[in-house]
Amino acid sequence: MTTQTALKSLRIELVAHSPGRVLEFVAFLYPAGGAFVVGWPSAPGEVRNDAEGRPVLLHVAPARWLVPAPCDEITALVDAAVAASAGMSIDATGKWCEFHLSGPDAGRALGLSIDSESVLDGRECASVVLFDCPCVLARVSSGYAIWVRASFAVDFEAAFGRLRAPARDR
Amino acid sequence: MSGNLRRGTRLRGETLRFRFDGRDYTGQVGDTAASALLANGVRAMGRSVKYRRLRGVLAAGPEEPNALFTVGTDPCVIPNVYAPQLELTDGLVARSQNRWPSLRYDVASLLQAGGGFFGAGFYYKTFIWPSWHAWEAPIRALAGLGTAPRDANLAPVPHEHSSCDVLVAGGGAAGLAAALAAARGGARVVLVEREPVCGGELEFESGAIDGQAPLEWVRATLAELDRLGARILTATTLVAGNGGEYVAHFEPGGLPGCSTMYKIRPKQIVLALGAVERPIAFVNNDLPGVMLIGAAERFLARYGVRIGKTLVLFANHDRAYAAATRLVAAGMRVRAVVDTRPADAVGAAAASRRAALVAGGTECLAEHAVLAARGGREVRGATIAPLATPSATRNFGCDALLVSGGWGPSVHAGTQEGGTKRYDASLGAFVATEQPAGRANAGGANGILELGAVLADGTAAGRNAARVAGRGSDASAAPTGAGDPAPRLVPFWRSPADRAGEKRQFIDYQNDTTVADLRATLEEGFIDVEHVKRYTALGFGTDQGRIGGLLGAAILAELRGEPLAEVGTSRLRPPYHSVAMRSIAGLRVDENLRITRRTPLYDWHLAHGGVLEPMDLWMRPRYYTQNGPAAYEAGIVEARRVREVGGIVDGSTLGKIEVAGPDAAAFLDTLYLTKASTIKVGRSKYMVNLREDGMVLDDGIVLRLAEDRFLATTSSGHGAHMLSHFEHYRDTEWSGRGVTVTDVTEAWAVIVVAGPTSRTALNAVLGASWAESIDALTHMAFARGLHGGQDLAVLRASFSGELAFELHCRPAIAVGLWESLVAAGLQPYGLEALDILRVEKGYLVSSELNGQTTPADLGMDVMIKLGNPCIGRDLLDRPAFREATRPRLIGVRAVDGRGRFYGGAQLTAADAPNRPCGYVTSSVYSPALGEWVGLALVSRLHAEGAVLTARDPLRIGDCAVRLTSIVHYDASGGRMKS
Repeated sequence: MTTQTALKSLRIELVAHSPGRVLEFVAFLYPAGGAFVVGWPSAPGEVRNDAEGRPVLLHVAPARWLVPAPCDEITALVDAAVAASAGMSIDATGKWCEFHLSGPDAGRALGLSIDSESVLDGRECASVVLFDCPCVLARVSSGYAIWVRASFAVDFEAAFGRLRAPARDR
Repeated sequence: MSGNLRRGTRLRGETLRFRFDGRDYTGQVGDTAASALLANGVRAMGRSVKYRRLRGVLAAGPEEPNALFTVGTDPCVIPNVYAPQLELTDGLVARSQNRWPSLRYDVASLLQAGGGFFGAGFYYKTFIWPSWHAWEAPIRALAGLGTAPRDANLAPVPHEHSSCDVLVAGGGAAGLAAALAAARGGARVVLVEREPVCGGELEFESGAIDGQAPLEWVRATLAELDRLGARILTATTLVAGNGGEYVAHFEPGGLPGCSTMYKIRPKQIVLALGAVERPIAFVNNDLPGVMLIGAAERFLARYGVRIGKTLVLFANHDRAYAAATRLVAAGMRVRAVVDTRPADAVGAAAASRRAALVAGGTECLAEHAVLAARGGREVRGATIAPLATPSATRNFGCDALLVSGGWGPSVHAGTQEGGTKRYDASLGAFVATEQPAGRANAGGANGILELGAVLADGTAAGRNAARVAGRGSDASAAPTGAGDPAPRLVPFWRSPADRAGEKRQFIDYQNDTTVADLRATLEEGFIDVEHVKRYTALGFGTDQGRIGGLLGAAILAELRGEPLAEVGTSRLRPPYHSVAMRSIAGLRVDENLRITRRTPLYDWHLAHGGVLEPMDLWMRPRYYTQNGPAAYEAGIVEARRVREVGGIVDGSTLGKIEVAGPDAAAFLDTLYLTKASTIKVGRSKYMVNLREDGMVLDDGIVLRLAEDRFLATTSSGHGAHMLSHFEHYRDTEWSGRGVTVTDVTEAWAVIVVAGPTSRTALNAVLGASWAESIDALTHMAFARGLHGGQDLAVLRASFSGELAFELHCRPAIAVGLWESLVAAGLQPYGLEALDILRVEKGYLVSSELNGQTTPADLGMDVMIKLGNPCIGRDLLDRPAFREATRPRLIGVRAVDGRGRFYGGAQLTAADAPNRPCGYVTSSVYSPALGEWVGLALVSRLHAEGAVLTARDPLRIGDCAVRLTSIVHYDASGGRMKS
């Protein structure tokens, strides 16, 4: 029988990654049209990963893409879209802090803030609010990649720290 | 109390020790506090709130109105814990409530001496002289349920969010059948059950399901559900639903502490919450020893507690005979079964049991009623009479009086969010009817109480839910069973009593609402059931009318001479079950109550004496402690230092929106009072947004980064609002155009460098490569480049009146730049100093942008005259905005140069001393001028030079002030342009 287990020992690991250059690309039109067919995750929630399975281009909201650590190939893709007058690229370096959440209870930990299973049902990424912090959440092979607005990052990390900590009277 | 079997379905045998009201007792693992105390012969477990009547356990679930305990020791106590649900643990300490100094001897119970009960409305009508407030304190001390803890020491309660195909609320026969059918159909099922084990009445009901004993079927069903992947959440009560999300509260042991709130979003929900047994009103029906029949059966089956040696049962349905049979079989003597119905109303099965009971010595009385319970501190007997001749009373000795007036289906959840109910005369109760999409009731909530029908109803509901949720349909056979017969109930609400007796016919035990109260309430003109509820407190408190709500409505209907169906019941509201406030708060407690946004310099400020204060979600330094003991003193030091030497302030909290695209300039032209399209690349402009109604929304600087790219800054507290404003117009009237809007607030840290040495310090820090650019910067121009390999823009702009620069840098270099500036001789200053500098120069602080001021009110006539047709511009031409009494921003200073006046002070003229003509919006002590200066919004009837009185009676009294130019310091602007 399935029963509740105490939350005092969630088996999760949250690792912050060093912030690097980040771009956001915003299309003028939505649906974005033909310029975004090849190489672009064209539907909101779709993600393009690199060969190692890391998200490199995330369609985080209608007509808005997050480009974490843009490589030459993705940069060229974005530049081409700008050149085609399909949208604008914005240098958002410093806006986002990247975290990686893993462990057997990672999904359950997210479930303490949102129903992540439903949110990511049929999609690979979503713009969400986790523990009151605006984030982009993406499922990756080893867990979840999470980009948190930088000004919220300390509280975001602290929220997960509290989930791991034993409660006083448990 | 008889000796106890102490063999119950929930007992595990191991002995536990606990303390109640200062006395030590023992119980068993699996006991609840109520069952263990009953097994120890303790009947009195609390006193009522109003009359302080001694009370015992009435029910066996969360509907229990009397036995509420305070658990723990001061100051870490938890009040109002339901004793029938409080799981016994070794060392448990509990005490009864609403008594002083002890449960047995309560001083306040003297209030009921002489039988003169304080009826409904007594307090409202009595304690009005000399004033309610004179009585308020002692009455409040007597009122209320328990005492709030000073320190509960509870852990934060996690909120778990999930979804499923079918949520089943209730783990009795109907719920289990529904869950099984849905899970067999392939649905992802979650079942919540408020008890620590599933089964409901199957724990004691006679009969069989699929050829098995009921409890065997429960075990087999749970095992199959587990195999099918269903999630079973026991000790979890469905407490509320909202917008398709249902909240279930997990409270193991019936005690806050290790709780969890489950927020479940199902595609379909089946409400199988059963029915709650209700009492019958008779005189002294609240004596300890009076208990619901179902509760007595639960205490017997679960915990092996025999509730008495000699019992009298009082009911209006067939189930009483089945219960009596089981109680006799358990070794108790049933002295009498008192049935309000005619003898021929009894069904065949019940008649057979009745015959057996009679043969065993039980007197079965048809068309009789218990008129009164007899006894002092507990039941010693019952006064019984034929309904046709109530004066022909007989007294029956007994030590427990078990009562059942039928069942009220649990339609609480079913009537939320649009669900309806209807009156079912055969049950004498309301049952759920129309339900919103995605929700269905099953079993008791539909008024179905016979086991076989309950199983069929639950199965049908589960199958349908799975099908509608897009899963398969279960084709296997539904469970079949038979248990206690249908109750064949004939509604009966209260026994005959005279007016004096009605004062002791209790309806709502928790609030001491009696039949006499309902009568008095009607006589005073409160007819509607909702008004009656509020006048009598019927249905208040933790039981929320589950025991007395329907009973009260029925008696009200009788007194009004109207059908119960028309009178109805009061509205049921969530939560269904008491929920600790801490569970609702979840993780948002203590330091986590409010999220904090931090700038890259946050830690530096804290480490260097910064005293932070909130601005929206941001925390910003108000002042630095090394400059003074409080904001006032430190602010003066910091402001003076900026004017004399220079200083730096963290401006990273400014909202920053990048607007890009070929149509960006035109887009901004519509959003701002003046044109953005006229800004040259590399320059910036102070600009103002208007709301649609012409009022000023926000102000800030807009930088043109490129022909097709702008950076718009907003005030710190308006960042999110302004982004929403921009996005709204981008996504509506500008949809499809060549413009994009992106929040880049965190992408740029901002350090403001102000003061006469700012340029020198900046050159020293940024080095030679930047020197030429900085020296060449004119007012509102900016230069861009790299510093430390990161982007940096240096904007020459001032909100202090001094030569000043804004460094917009990537967060990675913010701390390094800041520390370099400190090393170059510039000390940080906080918001207090910033306000001083701004008010001295007549710059808007924040209170001037109050949503009620137009640009003209704020002295921005020049901007208006430029005629940019922006949002809100047309409405500036409204005649009302040109009236002479419109406020206008103006400077204000004390007439004598020494007086003080604060922001918020009302301004009055000599000819109208009681009618304010304006108010002070901002005021500061100016270290540069050596006096208090301020800004004010004052009727245009009063011009510069006028003398007014700043009235502030609650703080510092009156001060004569003179209206002046808004610019108090360096009117020529020479310092800023130097």
